[in-house]
Amino acid sequence: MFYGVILFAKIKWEPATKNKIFILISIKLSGYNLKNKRFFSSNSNGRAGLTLKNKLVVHTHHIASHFTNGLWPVVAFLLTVYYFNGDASFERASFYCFIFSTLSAPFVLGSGWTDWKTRFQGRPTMIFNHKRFFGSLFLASSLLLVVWRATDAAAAAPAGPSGLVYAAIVYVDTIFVIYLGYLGGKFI
Amino acid sequence: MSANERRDLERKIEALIIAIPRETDAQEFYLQLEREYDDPASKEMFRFLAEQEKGHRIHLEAILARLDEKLAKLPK
Repeated sequence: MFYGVILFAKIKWEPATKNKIFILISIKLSGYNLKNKRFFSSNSNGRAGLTLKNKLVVHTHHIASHFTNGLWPVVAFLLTVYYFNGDASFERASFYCFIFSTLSAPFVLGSGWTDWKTRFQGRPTMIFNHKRFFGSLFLASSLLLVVWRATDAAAAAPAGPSGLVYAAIVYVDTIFVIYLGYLGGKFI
Repeated sequence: MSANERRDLERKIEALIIAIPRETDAQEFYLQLEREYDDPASKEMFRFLAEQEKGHRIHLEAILARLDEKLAKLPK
């Protein structure tokens, strides 16, 4: 393998040929089967393995959901710190975190929906119903929060009822995220 | 009684819906390993394991079909 790499580097390939070889090696290393356009070849009983699209959907769901689930508790934590010490930089940091958390939420929902429709036969069982319901609630409320905070810099200020509503949405969304993460953990 | 029975059946069906893709994933995992090895003993072992997973999946799908039939017969 090592000598193969050195040989590959020493030969004066045409750039286009070198690119093609590089792409082919990358595809081979990823496990993608060029012949049947799947990551794994068909099984002996004719039932095909995961298609490339399915594989990408599953990976997108894992990556995006970890982004949302990882960042949202940080949002709640930074906001709590802001309420305790009044340092506005914590509130700003919290806002930036939830922008990224909210941005990845549509990917979580979209890929989760596709995965449910394909791998899990689209069956409306309790877990999937809860995932769809609480996921949609989370997305809607976090989008609302982003727009609200973007248009009103003092939205999270503790004085007044608006700050209370803002904090309540953040903390309720944290519970949603924890519950959704718990449900997602059942599939691993 | 039938509401409890329905709920119980739905829980079992849910467990199977989650379990079936796991068996498929495990089967594919072993099939990929089988392709990666050149020696016949390893190939045979991974093929055997993949067959086991395939058997599990077929078994689970059969149970799922039976439970679906049972659920369909229950009054709504």
